[in-house]
Amino acid sequence: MNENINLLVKKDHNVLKEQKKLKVFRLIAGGFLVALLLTSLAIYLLNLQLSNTSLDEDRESALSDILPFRKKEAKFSIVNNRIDNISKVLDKKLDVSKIVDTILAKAPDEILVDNLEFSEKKISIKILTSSLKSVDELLNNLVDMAEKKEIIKDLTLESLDVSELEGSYRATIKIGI
Amino acid sequence: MDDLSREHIDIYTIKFLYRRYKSFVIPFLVIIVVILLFVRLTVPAIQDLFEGYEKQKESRLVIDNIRQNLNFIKTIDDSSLESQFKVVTKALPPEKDFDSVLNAISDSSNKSGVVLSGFKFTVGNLSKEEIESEYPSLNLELTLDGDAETANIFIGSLAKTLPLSEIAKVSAQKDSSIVTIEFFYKPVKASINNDSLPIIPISNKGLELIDNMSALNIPQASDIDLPVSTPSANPFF
Repeated sequence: MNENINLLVKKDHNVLKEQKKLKVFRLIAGGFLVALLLTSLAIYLLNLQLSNTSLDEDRESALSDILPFRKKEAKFSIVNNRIDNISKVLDKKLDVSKIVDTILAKAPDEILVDNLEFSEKKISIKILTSSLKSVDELLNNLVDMAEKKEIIKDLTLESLDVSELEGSYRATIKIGI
Repeated sequence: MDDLSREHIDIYTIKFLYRRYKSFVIPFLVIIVVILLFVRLTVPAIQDLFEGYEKQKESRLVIDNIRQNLNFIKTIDDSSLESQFKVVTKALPPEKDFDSVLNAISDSSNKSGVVLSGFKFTVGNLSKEEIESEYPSLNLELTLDGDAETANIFIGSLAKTLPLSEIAKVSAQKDSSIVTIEFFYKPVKASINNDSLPIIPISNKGLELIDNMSALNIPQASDIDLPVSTPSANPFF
């Protein structure tokens, strides 16, 4: 007998297939349930372990140990903070005395500094001299400094006046530092 | 086919399907319930667990830092810290320190032999903005008897004196000079002890800076004795 035309055999085969599917389906459901239970148990145990640690007590103990030294700690922290700020102040601070000294040292003896103004990284000097050569010498010295990038960034001879009556020269030099 | 018969067919279909797949319903419901429980309860519980571990880790770090800081603080010599504190707070006071400024002026004036003929404090506004600026300062305008060179001698002497100052402006004539000085100060910010950070020891550069500051003149209060040009012009009394 050809099995292809036997409907009864075909039906049994389908039932078996369906029962197999059901079994797999039940296994999956059971697996899911077991996995959920195990995960929950693991989380519970880990939480239990986490809350059992004596961290709070350790922290309290460490804090009470350091409490008498808090003032010293604060003082040390202020010292460190001041050092940072002092360094920053010193970095931006100009040594005006040294700058003015260096510039005035470049003036020949015959030159008299009539007026000196310093403000916002600019120096303005009014000089009085009987010799044009000394003005030239001062300017050359200052130009040398500017070329060597020593203090001076820019240099301007703003005015040069001659007083025939007094026999003197008056010059105004502006220096950018 | 009318609506009623269609409805009957649907009910029959459902009944048929139920009978046909009855044994699949319970496992299916179990899977759905497990997935829902996992998403709604287990996942947040796992997240909480990780957060708890993170917090525990942070707490451990804080405790370790506190212990390290404590050990470090114990090694610092009290007298050395006290002298360092005095020097740095003299160099950069936490507030406008008029006494120290007057002492510095007096000391520089005495040491340079420059006679002061007057002075003017510019207290400035005491607003929060000014105090919060990076380097707030107390400005002082001094009138000195003498030319540019004399003024420069005074400025040089002041540069070697604490508190730290900067020359903002100089206007020197033949007989008299006006010098505007900025005396820096920096308020100490109120801070809560941050135990999660270790204390950083003072660097070698910092120690060198303290040594340099200590080498400068630190005039004391009793030093106030300004050589002024006339008794009536004494600006302090």
